[in-house]
Amino acid sequence: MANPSRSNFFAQFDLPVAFAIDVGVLEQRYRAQQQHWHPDRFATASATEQEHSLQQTTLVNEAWQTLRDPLSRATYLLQWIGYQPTPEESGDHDTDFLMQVMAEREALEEIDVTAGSALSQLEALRQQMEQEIAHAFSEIAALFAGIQEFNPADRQRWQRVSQLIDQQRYRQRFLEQVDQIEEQQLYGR
Amino acid sequence: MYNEKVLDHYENPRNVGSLDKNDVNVGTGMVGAPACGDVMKLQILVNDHGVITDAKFKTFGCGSAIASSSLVTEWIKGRTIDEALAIKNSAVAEELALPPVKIHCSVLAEDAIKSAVQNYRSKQQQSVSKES
Repeated sequence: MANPSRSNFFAQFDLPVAFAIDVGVLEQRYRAQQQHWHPDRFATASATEQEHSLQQTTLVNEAWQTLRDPLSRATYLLQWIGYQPTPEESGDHDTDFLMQVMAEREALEEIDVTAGSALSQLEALRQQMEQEIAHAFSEIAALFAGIQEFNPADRQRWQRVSQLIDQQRYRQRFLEQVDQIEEQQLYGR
Repeated sequence: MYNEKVLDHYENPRNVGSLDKNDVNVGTGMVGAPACGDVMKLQILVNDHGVITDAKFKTFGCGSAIASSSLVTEWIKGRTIDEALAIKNSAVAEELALPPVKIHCSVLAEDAIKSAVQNYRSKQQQSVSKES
């Protein structure tokens, strides 16, 4: 197990350190702890106890926010492992992916939003993007299988995860743009 | 918030478009920072004397990224490959008066030139080895 002195959001919820977690269990335990530390329950407690409950509530919320979203969970896991990309590593993107980005952004740009077919074209792009997101998450899950503390021999593996996280961010932003265009179309400017 | 020269290139970008990426005399450079949504394609057409006779770009990104790529296409046209490779991002940043947070845009433009030249050279080598 990695550095036990480091705060560990997984331990907070009695979960194993892993990318593939049971989100239902996570949510249950989050709700239970949130209730347990709720300020209302400490209304008549001492100032020290009140302070402690507030700290715990903050910690529980932060751990929950970090782990519930797969992308921030993956980012947190890289930190937990102790991997930090060098500037060269973070700037290193495969050409195929960049070509794909270019083609997708061109496709989005070329959609004539005044045309009747605009919505179905946007939805087709959204589906394609959602498939890519699901595909990349399964690659991330496979790379995280059997993780342990940082080992220099695994550097390339974590670099790939970091690269995939960046790619997912691009896809999220792309979907946000699709949302925006659709909203403008549906509800006017 | 943007400098005049940046605005000029942003509003009237030079050399936007594509060259035939299958042409053996065309080098295609692709660089980007996907997490920020920046992606830059820069293409060069090189003649037998190693002179860049045409350059085209297509960039998705902020105004500074578009201006940086537009500017370098102007600069490299008519120059030799080696002269183009000598262009430093600092010169681009200076010409466009880029603020520190936008320096990475000029770095992308410099990397795009290198990437295009590298692609051109590897295509040339491949075509030579095919002929012999």
